[in-house]
Amino acid sequence: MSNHFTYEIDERNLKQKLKNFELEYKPEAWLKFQNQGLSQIKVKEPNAFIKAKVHFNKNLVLGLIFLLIIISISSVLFKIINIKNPINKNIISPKPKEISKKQYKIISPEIKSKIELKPVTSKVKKDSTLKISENDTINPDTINKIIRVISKNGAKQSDKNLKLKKSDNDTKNKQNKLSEKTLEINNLPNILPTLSADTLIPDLK
Amino acid sequence: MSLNALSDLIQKNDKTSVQQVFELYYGKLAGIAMRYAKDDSQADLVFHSAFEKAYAKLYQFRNQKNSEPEKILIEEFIIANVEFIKSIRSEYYVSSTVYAIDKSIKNYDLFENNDLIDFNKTDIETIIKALQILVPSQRLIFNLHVIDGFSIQESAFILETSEETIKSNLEKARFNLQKNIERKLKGIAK
Repeated sequence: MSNHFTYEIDERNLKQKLKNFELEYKPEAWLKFQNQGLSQIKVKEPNAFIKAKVHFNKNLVLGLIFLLIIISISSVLFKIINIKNPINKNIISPKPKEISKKQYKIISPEIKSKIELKPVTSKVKKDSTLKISENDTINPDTINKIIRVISKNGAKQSDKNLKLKKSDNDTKNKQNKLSEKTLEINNLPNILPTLSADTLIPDLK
Repeated sequence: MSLNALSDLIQKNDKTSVQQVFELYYGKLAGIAMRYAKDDSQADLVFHSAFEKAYAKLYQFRNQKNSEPEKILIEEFIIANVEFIKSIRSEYYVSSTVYAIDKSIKNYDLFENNDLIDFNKTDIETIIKALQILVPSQRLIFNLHVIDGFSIQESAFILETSEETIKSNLEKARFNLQKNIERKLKGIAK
């Protein structure tokens, strides 16, 4: 009760008065009740639809709506994303870039140090030539060596010459064959008749 | 009439037994209907519909041994009254702009009737008229809680509103009832 208002009614007394309040019975009342009946009384009653609406719990309805939304969104996502194969085949893996010379300069010295540089070993062919200086003395051994070297070099040179000779012979043979063919073409009999001005279009004359 | 006699009448459920129950409880139930309705004509309508509903409910509980038929009849009659008043939506959902605040300024006009009012000695007719003028929502809660003895929770359940609304309506009803009685006694109101 507000402080501004002083309530002077004694509710107990009022309650007692109103509880004991009764109307006198009239025989007309029963006749009226019989005649009117409940069906004839027109009372605006709330529709069944509105009643049904009241019975629904708002929280339950909202919860159901949210559930439906979540399920629909998840189903759409499930269709888009394939859980069984998470890695998409269409995704192209990036190619390893080739490091150019300019880029190589940029590489830090730490990385450079890690790169192992293998020493290039070149096999030096043993020279078969014999070097003789002025100080060398002539011995039977040295003479033998010189003979061996000469004989080896001579054999190598003879092999080379033989190969060259063979190639020369082949080319010569080919050239001969081509010349023979041309001769044969030139020596063919002149089968085609010689056409003169008289033989050409005799009717026109 | 004893409880056994009443239950026997209900068990019969013929026209004469209904008439007997009607004659027996008419005075009490009509008095309740007068409190809940806005005027005599509405009280008649309320009484007829509420009585039929209450009797039907009483017939449902006829086989229960521990039930009190009189209590059931009156309670069901009150609930049917509330439902009837609530069903008149154009009347029930009228918002009240009156606040339970009394002006501290008093009237010192010598020619106006400033007799002290003894609220406890007011006659029952003026109280009922003052009660009928109240807005339906305030009238219902005052009847349910103050006179018929329903708790705030119970009346909130019957009226399908929150307890806060019930409390505020009850405060407004008390304020307006006192003002209405004052006006009635001074002859300002109709």
